[in-house]
Amino acid sequence: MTDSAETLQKYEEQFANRFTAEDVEYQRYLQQPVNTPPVVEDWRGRGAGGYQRGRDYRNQDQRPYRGRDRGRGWGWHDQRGPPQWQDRRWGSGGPYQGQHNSYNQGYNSGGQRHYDRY
Amino acid sequence: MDPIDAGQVAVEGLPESSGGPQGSGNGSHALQDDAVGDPTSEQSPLGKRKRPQEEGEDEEASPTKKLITKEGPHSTKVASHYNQLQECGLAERNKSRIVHMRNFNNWLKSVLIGEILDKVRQRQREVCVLDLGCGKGGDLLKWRKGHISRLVCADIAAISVEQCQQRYADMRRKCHPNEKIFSAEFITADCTKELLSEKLSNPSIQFDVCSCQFVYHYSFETQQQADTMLRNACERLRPGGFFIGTTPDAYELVKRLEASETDSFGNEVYRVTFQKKGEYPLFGCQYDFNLEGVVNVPEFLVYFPLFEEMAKKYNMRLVYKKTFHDFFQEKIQNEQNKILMQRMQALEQYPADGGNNLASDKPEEYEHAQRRAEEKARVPLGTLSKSEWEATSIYLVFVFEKMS
Repeated sequence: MTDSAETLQKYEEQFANRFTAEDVEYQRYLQQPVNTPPVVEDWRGRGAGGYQRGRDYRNQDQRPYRGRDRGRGWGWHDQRGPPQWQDRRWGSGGPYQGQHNSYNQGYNSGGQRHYDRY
Repeated sequence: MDPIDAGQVAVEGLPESSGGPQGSGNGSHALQDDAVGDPTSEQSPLGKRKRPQEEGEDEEASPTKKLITKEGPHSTKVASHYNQLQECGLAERNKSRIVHMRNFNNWLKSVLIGEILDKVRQRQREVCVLDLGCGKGGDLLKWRKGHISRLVCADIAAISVEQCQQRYADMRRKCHPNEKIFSAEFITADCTKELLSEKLSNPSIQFDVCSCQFVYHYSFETQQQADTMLRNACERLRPGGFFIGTTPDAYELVKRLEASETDSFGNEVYRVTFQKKGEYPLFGCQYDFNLEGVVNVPEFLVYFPLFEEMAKKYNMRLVYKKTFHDFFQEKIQNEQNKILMQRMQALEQYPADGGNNLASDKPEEYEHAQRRAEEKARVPLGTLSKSEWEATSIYLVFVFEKMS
């Protein structure tokens, strides 16, 4: 039997219960509610002040982020693995700390005209 | 012999970016503009290979990805499909029923790529990326805005790679004289069957990131192909490097299939058709994914626990996995991501403005938004039609890290 065939057999045994009642992760997935489409309030779409095709925004400024940065980071601490992983990787002590990563750096000056219009 | 198996198409020896303190911009910024409006980018949100979902947007657009599949007739079919696709104008694509879905997918990739590049840059300035299944170069602008130093683009479809290369050349030609754009190399190869390491201009190169957007599932036709694809993605990654991507979630696919009375499920936007319900081989579990009547290339189910197990062979550890739904919920909490989303028109406005129409005329497509509006949510809302969401919420995002 080739290495490949042996490996496949190993996988077949390891995942023999896939998509069955014994597949714990799949069963957990099935318990989740059906997802509804995304909904974002205060949407600034194509209307006044929205994105205008053909306009060059590259040099425009970004409004500094003022709130809590709940959406940043990967939440890898939620995954399995050593809990210290996130601390090790997410820059405690490095130049980009906490929520103040490069998202909010650069793009200086220039005022905030674009978003201030809203 | 697969005509697409050609080899390297070209190598551009452009000056390497010395990369200054990339203080100005990180991935996300970068990614931000684009999407809409850059004539050099295509639109395509989902990825490359794609299904219509991915095609469009700005960047991404490359259908090529899919191609990465197997050998024989299937690979040929995929490559042929993409090679035959005509580049169509942005305006044309924007008329599409699924333009916001494609923009949504593009936004999601922008956020993913931007944050990974931020993370990599915490430890070094020069960033080297492998875009595996690059298609026509839908992510080129993201790499530019992410201020990477070096990019290797690989795809199975020669014509797509040529378009990618042309787009890159146009980008360089049009950029500001003071801007240092990454150097790039373009390779045409069936990455499920050929080793990229044998085609690289610098065989000892080490990547910080390998990005495989909407493509990896094409490799799951056979164990050998899935392994070769994985090897191509990971073997030249430096320790601490990341393998990131998007792929259909087998749990969601099987869940919907089992809930269907037939071997098929879908809506007015997409349709997935399996060959058989109830049997899900680890490799070669084929289904057809049809989006907006376009692209009907066979895909293969990727049972994620198996994917994760196979990745261990290359010292890869899964550090992040989320469905598109959960990814959106997590990332939209950040104001910058929300702004980017608006710029990219990744959702459509509900209710529509006077002069605009919704993507669908059917009120039931927006019941969720209508309900929220009645609950005193601050309108206007940004949302997707129900059918678009059902199509794109099949996918998940993954991030592996190389341990050693």
